[in-house]
Amino acid sequence: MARKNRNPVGKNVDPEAQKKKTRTLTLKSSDGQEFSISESAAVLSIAIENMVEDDCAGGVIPLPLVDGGTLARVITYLNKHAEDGASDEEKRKFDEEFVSGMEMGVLFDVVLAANYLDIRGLLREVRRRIADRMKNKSVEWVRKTFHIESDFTPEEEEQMKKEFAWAWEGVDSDVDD
Amino acid sequence: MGSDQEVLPDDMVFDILTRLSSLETLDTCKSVCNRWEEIIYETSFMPLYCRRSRKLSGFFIQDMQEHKYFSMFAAMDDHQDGSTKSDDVCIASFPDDMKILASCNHGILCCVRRRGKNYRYYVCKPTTQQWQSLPNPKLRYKTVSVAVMVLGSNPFRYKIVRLSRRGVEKPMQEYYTYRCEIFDSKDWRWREVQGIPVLYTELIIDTISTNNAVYWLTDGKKRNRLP
Repeated sequence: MARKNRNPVGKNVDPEAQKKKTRTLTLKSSDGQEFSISESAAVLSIAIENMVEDDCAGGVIPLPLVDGGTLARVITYLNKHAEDGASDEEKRKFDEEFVSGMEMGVLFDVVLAANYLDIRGLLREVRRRIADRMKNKSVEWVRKTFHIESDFTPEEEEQMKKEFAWAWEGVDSDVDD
Repeated sequence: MGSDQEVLPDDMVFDILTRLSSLETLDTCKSVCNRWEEIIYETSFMPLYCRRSRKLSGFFIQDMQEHKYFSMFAAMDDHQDGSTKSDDVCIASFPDDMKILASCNHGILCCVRRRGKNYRYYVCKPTTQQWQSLPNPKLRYKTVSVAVMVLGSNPFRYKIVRLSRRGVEKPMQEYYTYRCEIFDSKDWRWREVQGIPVLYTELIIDTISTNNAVYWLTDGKKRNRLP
């Protein structure tokens, strides 16, 4: 028996999506800088989407945990991912280049912002990049970069050097990147 | 944000560490601080780490059935996404007559196979099904305990330590000590090492090899030697 398809998945344009594209929101960083962004790009952040849905956006959305420099980077990312006609391949290439030039400190800022704004794709990309950068690095480098003080006793430290000898040898010299 | 002294929250550190590509880096991170060490030893860490890095983690179980050794691998990770199946990675073609003598946490095994009256030593990397036969140690001494350890991955280097004893029971055997041989993959030969004063009477119960040391549990005292 032929089933009648009552809801064909057509290419008809969703008027709501169109509206989002033309509507702009203003995001305000912790240091008072304001950025305009289309709603369709902004709602790739689940946190912003929730604010818009709850209608507490009211023109300007304050983001007191994100500074201007970081917010500008995040917006670049959101705009690219909301772009019409950008293929997955293009987006992947963009992601790669987007994070490749960033210093570790910047990556930390971006990952915290992505976490706060709940932008899954960006979060994953930056975390992966941070992990990649840790390859072949010394314990001291990791501590310095992540702002961690060792809380091991000197004896424990010695023990670690023996137990994980292969991790302590042959690491890159500590250069900041 | 924007501060230079930002410390990442634990859940984020957890996620980042599960994305590390090499076990060396993971060991580096265990040495960073107590908190990080705890994070890595959390029970949910290794399954996720293995899935993301496509690494295998688990145990070898060896049993004897009808006078033949029988080995299987029990994986710690569940691989729900079906990306790799632990059983078909390795043990499918693990030979029945191969006895696992020693293993280490880098996934390298030392095995021996008996063909008639002949024994042959092998080193094996089960995940890639690579086998390499080794020169035999002094087989007229009876194997008591074997340990294998990996010293580096690039270049790949390992050592095998074997304790053995003379087959014949002799009077006054409490004055005899075990014979110790070490095989170094760099020299590709066994070399006898003097001066491991473990007496026959100090019963050896078990062997544990961590990255750079082998521990033998003896009666009452724990001994440790770095070859």
